[in-house]
Amino acid sequence: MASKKITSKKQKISKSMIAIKSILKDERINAYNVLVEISIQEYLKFARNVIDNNEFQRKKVIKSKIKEILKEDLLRNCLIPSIVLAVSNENIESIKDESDINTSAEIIDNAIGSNEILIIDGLQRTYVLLNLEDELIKKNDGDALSKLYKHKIRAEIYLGLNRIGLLYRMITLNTGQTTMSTRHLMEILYLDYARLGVNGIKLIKDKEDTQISLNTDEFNFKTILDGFNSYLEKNEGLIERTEILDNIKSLDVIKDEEINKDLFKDFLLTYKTLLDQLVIKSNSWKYNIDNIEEQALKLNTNAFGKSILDIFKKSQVLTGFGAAIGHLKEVKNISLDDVVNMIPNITVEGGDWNTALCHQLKQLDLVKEKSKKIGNDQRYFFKFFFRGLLNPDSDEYLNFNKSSDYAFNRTREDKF
Amino acid sequence: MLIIKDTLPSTDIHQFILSSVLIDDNISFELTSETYAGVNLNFTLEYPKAKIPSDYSVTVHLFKNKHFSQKDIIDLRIKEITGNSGKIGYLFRLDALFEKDILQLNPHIYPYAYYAIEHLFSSEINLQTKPYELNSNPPIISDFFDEDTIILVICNEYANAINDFTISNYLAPLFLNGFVKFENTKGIDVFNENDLIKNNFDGIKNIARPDGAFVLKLTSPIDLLTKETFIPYLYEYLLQYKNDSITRFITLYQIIEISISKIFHLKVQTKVCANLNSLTSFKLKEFLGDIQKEKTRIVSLFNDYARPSFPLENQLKDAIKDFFIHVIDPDYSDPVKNAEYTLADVFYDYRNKLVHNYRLVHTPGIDNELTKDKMELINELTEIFISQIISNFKIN
Repeated sequence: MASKKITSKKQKISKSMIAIKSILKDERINAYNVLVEISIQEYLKFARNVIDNNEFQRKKVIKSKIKEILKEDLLRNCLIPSIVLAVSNENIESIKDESDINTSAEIIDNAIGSNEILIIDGLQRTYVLLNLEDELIKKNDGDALSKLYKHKIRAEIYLGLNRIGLLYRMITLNTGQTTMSTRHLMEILYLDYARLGVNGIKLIKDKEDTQISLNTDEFNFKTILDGFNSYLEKNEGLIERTEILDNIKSLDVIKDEEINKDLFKDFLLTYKTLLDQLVIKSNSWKYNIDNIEEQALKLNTNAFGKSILDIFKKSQVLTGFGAAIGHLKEVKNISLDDVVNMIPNITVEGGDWNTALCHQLKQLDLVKEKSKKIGNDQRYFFKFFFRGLLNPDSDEYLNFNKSSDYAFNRTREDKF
Repeated sequence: MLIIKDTLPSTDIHQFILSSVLIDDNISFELTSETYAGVNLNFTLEYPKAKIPSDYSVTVHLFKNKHFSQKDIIDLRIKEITGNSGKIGYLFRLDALFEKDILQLNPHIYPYAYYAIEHLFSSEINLQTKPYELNSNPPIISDFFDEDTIILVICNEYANAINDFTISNYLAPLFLNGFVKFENTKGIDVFNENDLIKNNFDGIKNIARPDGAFVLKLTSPIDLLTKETFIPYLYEYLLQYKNDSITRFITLYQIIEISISKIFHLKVQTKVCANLNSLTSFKLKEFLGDIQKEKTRIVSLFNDYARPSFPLENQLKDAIKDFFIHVIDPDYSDPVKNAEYTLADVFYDYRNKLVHNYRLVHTPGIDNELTKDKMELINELTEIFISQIISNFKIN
């Protein structure tokens, strides 16, 4: 039994000990597949760091009995099936052909160094390996640990896989993945925006423990995606979890519909324009009960939002907006650019934003009072609000007050 | 406990039990499984400053009510309980506890919601109403329970003020206010959407407490009826499911049968045993002969023991007469006579004719669809009627 204290885990990896055995091109997804041999020690050095990187893979835990058998086998140098990895950087132009081992090795090394590698098949095997490593360290069993570390495994590493290709490969491997909703596929496709932002706008994911500032430069990623999805579907409802499409079909739909990244970006920028204008026009309006003179405008429940941004950054408003302009695009051929041009002309009666917004809050208060499903009815309200506001042929066109009344009447008639 | 099905081709089932409660400003319930990584379900209610009292336990029952809004909270009380104003629990929409900005609960109501969720997740019994299959989205509460599920959270310690308390004894008065009990994946096929039920529910909402909750006070049924096992069975397993109009009426009529059988004994006790010395043999024979008749006991039930509410009495009477006129029953051809019939007259006649003269319904030339609609309206009103009988039956 080894007596020295064992501390491994999370060491910085230097030039890899990865031995490339073969490179083949996958023409279907336009990526290289590199077969490598790697010691378990080298693998675990980066696996622990990247294990949380794959946001698409389910967290199924291998049944404990099977896990124990696998651990015992691993201690006896049993060979496990190849683990499938992918380098998330799409740029592989530097790889000349299937014989370009040096460039491939360099791309892999860089990806490992910067944690830009994903485990697309073999997450459970990796969990077991990590778990076994932890146990041996805890038991201070240096001999067994050293034997485990030296043992080699095979891995296939995809280079140059774009998001669609990655999803396609994950789905076709169909090992360990769950069915994904269109909404989730979209989330993965636009994940880069959550990381990099759009024209200085930050998109914050729920997992991040960051407070989203109440300005027009920071948004909840999920809320924007919900709004964008409503735009594409022309429907303000959140996608039902039961309506999960066949994944390959969904991917094809996404490609066929040319839902390109620019459209997502344009949608977000259009919405930001609306918010910026509302902030300017309403002079950064805030709800203040002392400013409400009319008894009829007093609220029975908590206000839907306490400021112009608090109201208009909510998911219900974004999905209503998305559904409305998706509808207007279809029936009136109104583009996002047209919407951007209309926004500066939105008015309230008598220039009185306080009354207009208090009135809208009162209408939302009544919706809340009567509703069987409050969130859905609020989305419905805002769909008709924007349909009135942004439809040049409607009587409510660009009139905030009239659009709000129209939305309320429609909601009341259809839902209560 | 919650259950998640694996995606096909796997047929694995993962059982999730509450493993920890993470308390910050809000609460997150963490559920773990031996075969799957944990899932978290976030309770969006702001955690109260006051500590949640311990030493209390709850029982949770699932209901639906077409008239219940998502933000409604109902404080359920029992008239016979003297302490704590008779309070035994609260009714909430389950999804409202997991969605932002729907409910703001005060420190007295909050523990009911909290304990209810703890009970749902930690119980070994699975109350889940929807099968849920793994997918890539993190689960939410409506993946496991119908969106319109209402939970009735009963504080066992408060309810124990009534001997052998069981919610089964209160399903009739709850039904009168639109609450229909359901379990697991069986769902509910039919709701009674009659305005009388809506009016009852709206009546609860006429007075709101400062905390926004409404009060529903129920009266306990008499002991004689609580012993009848058919009554809870009717409300838990029969009323929710669609069936043929005649089958449904005969099912509902069982409550009349049960009630009139009680009346026989009650009448003998009060009118015979209590006055035995003053009864002549002739009077005794005459009385027993009369009380043997079903019609006599039905009249007595409708007039003395469980008189229906005035609007129900009129609507049901009119609906039955309308039915007989529609099927061209000769007994209902004279408008003057029709006006004199009581509810007991027409109701008993309807029952008898369905049993003994069902062919009347199929006389040539009668619109069968309309006949069906009229019978369904009678059933709808009879459901309310029998629920009133169970709730209001009083021993004179």
